[in-house]
Amino acid sequence: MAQVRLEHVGKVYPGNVRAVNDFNLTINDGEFMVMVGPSGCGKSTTLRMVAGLEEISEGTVTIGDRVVNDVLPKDRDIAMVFQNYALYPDKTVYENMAFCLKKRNFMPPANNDDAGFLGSLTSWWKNRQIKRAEIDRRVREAADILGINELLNRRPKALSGGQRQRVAVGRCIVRNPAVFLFDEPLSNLDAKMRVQMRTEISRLHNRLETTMIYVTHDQTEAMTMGDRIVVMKDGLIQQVATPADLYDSPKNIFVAGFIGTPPMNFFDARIAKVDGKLQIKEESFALDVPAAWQAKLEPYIDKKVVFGLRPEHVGSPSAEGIEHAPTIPAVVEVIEPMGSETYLYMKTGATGFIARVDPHRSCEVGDQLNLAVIMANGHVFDVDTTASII
Amino acid sequence: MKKHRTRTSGSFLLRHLLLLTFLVITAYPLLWMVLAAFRLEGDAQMRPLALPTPWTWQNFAQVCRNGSFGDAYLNSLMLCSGSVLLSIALAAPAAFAFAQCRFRGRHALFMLFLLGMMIPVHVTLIPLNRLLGSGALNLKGSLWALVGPYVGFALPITMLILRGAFAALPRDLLDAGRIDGCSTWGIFRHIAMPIARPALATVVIFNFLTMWNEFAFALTLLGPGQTTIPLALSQFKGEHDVQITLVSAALSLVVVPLLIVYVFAQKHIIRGLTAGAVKE
Repeated sequence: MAQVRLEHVGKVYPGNVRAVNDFNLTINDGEFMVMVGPSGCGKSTTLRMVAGLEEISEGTVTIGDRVVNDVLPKDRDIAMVFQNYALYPDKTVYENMAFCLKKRNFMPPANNDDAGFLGSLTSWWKNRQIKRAEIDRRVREAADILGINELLNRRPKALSGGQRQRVAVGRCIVRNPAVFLFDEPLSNLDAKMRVQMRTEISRLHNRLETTMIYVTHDQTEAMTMGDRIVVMKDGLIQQVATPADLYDSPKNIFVAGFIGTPPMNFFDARIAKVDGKLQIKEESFALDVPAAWQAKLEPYIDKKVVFGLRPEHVGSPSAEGIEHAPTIPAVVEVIEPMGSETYLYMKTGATGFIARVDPHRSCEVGDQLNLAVIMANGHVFDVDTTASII
Repeated sequence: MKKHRTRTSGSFLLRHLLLLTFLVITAYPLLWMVLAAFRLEGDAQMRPLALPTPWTWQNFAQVCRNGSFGDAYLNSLMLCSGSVLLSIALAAPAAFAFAQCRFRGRHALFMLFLLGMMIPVHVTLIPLNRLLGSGALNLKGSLWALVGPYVGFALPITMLILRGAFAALPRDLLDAGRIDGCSTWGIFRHIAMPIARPALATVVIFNFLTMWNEFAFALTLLGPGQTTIPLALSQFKGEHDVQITLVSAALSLVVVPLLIVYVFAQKHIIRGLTAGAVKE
């Protein structure tokens, strides 16, 4: 186990293409850190720099107490699971898992008491036998953990996607590395298998308590698995926080829109002062600002802002239950019943938004509704900087 | 529905008729050769299209009794096996470097290798005679004289096929090898080579076949005491006549190693020839 520290790390490709810019992050010992962001945001490049598969253009990467910028991947004490499994097709599952152990000296050599050629030969043979037994023990132990004992003699082509990914994880476990790296490991699996593997990897982390860095473009994976999440865009860190913090207190419009399914609703609005009270005014509605927000919004009077509201904070049972709750008038455009909840795709003025409402609420397409809003859970963003004000 | 079925069975018949025709065109000469090997000389001339009457092994016996044919067989086996192995040993690491390593002049150098395919064998006969002759390398007259030209002419096509196979290796697989503890050589040896087996099978068969049938170099570079299969076969042809039954028996024996190599490697051949052509 080890702490991983990235300080001012940057990656510049030929042609001065910047993939990662001034990346600063400390991943604690035993932490499950998820890097999430859209395609091309630099998350995989960052992971590959930690792995040693990409040269680091700027800054330093430290694993444990050692700066590893110039250390070969095999000597970084890391193990990596790839998106397309990267299993050796000519080797059996057992050989795939044992391969990395065969390629390295992971055990101290046995004492060589006998001198001479014969002594060396005996000692070499003894070491070989001990190493072989240890490899076998580790492979079978990892197979036990992952429930792939019966697959050990099969080749990768005879395995399903989920089984292949388990083998890829097993290949990492046998090495007992300081850091596990996952590069979008579940992207090639179907939805059901993805959910199952998500749980298995989380369980594995709880069991091994090893530092894990997990890259994904799927925010659901990020939210459900990570102790902390790094949200990235255009090679820059947007926010590092726990899943709950990220959801409740996004630092900017990008994070607010990226995290959450369905995503946060955004309204182009402005702050107005009416009868000494501040209001968030949009083309078709005006909402009184909670007292706690007044001071922060004073500088924005008569200025444009972006008002953010998550679907569950508009029209939901908890919002409708609030007495004298402010409302947004809107027309139902599409109804999506999900069973446990219903999503209404609404339109207010020219702006569309999504409301998560009670599944038993009866409404039809074209209905005019006044949906209650929980203002305390709303967000206000600066239009110019996109940073969160509230 | 009925009409559709009629059309389907009609096209099925036509397709199979065509395939059958191709099969006959391809297989008949081979069959004719094997049957001729079991005929008496007179029988072959009188009834060339009928089954042998009587069946006889005497042609094979006569070919085997011919000392130089046995020597030629052994020489060709050693020469071709050795040259094929050497060409792979030299071309595979180079092909891997061209496919996976980034270095200046990579493409130009590879093109230079491929130029070898455009050089006709016969153009090199005189220079090779001088190079391998007594004034220079002094190998002319021995089997060693053929190794260089055979390997040299096999390198371009071997590189082309193997480079295609190595270039098609997924990057993640090579990265996994690096993390698992392999050096570049280790990746080549433990990961790339086993996966490139189909391509290797292809070059083995292709090169073996080319070398096994090679005549021009063998004729000009070997000494009087040395011979290979193509040279030995020419012994059965007189100035004015050809002993068809003897030649057929010899040829039947000659194709045996090729058939053995082909049977063992055939399942890999198509995959090897198309390696890297499409993303899998």
